[in-house]
Amino acid sequence: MVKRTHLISLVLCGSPIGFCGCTTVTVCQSPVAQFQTAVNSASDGVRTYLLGVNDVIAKGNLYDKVGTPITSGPDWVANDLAGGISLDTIQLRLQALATISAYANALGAMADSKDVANLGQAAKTLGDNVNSLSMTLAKADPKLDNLAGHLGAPITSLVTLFGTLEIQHAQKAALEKAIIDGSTNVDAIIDQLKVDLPKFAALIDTSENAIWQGKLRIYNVLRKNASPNALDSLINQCVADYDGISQLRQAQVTSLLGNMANAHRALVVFAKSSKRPKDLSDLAGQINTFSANVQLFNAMLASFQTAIKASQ
Amino acid sequence: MATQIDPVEALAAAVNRLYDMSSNAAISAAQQQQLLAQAHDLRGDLIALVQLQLSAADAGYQNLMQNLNNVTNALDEAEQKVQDMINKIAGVADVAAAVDNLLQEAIQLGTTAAKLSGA
Repeated sequence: MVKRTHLISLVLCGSPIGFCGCTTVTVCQSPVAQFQTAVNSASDGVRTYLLGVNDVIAKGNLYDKVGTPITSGPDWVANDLAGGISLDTIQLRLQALATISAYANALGAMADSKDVANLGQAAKTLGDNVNSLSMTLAKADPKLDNLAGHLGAPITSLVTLFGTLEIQHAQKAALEKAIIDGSTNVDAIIDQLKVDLPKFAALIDTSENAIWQGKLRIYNVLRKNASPNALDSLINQCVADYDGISQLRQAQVTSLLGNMANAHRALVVFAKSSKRPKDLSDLAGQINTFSANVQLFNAMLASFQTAIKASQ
Repeated sequence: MATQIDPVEALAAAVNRLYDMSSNAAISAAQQQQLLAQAHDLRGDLIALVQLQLSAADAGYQNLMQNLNNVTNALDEAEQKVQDMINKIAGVADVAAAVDNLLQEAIQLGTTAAKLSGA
């Protein structure tokens, strides 16, 4: 009996029902959804990172002036707060990331489409209406009585079966085509961001250096007149400031983009593959690495923001 | 072949070095201030250089974004086509219902006419 059950399972796995899971859109749902989630989350992280760049530059501008005597040094001016990188420039990079997110979301929507479920309802309505029509015809012509009441269910099944196959085929074809068609552009956008974001990182790095040097000067003045108790809290504040500043420096934006590129490349390879379990596990591996990197990146940013709020 | 030095990286490294030197206790306060002022000025130049390089890449982004939007739109259209197929099935169901109604009315009329002629 047990053997028979196993045999049935094996037959089902090899049959079109079991085979459906490997050839239709369902096999793409999980990796596409994971890719979509990770891309959206990475976009949010990079958004926070880029929008913070002018704040850090402005702070650097003001802390730079701490080192010069108030009597002879330059005054604080509005231009210090301007940051230096135009908002258009930043917005364009954010838009580029948003474009990749929109593309990933469209892939996710297609992979996870509920059209097959909607088809079931449409097919049932059609079956019911044809059934009713058949019974009406039987009333008009008693010879048609055998037909009455027997049409609805088969029509529902046929429309659902062929419609489902057709929809899943269309979804899978559209998904693979979009992944392959979009691949060059997604790669090119990520590559360009990989060139650009280290430039932002260089600005953040030097500006944080300016902030830190200025803060140290202030701490050195304060500690000269601090009581032992005040000195203790000064040290704690100094360490907290340093941690806050260095968090953003450690945010590895280039490695994040590198993993995004790898995950995307794996998705393209998967779309072109015969979707064997090995293909799926290769893809899952790359996407998991990317997801983990995104989580780490966003955790660092969150910790940076907490430190900023605490120091304010 | 010599590796090309990235000017942004090189300038950032120089700025950071100036900041480090400006806090060196071994040099006079006046020299520290001078180094700090130079670091500040060069940091301004670095920002201008980065802005210039980023602006030069803007057109490329626009182009790539447009291409990727086209792919996304094509995907949305494909999704719409699937939806259209379902709508067509719903349309056929409506036709069946309409024919059914007409037939029922016709049968009703036929029954009424037969009753009337019998009476």
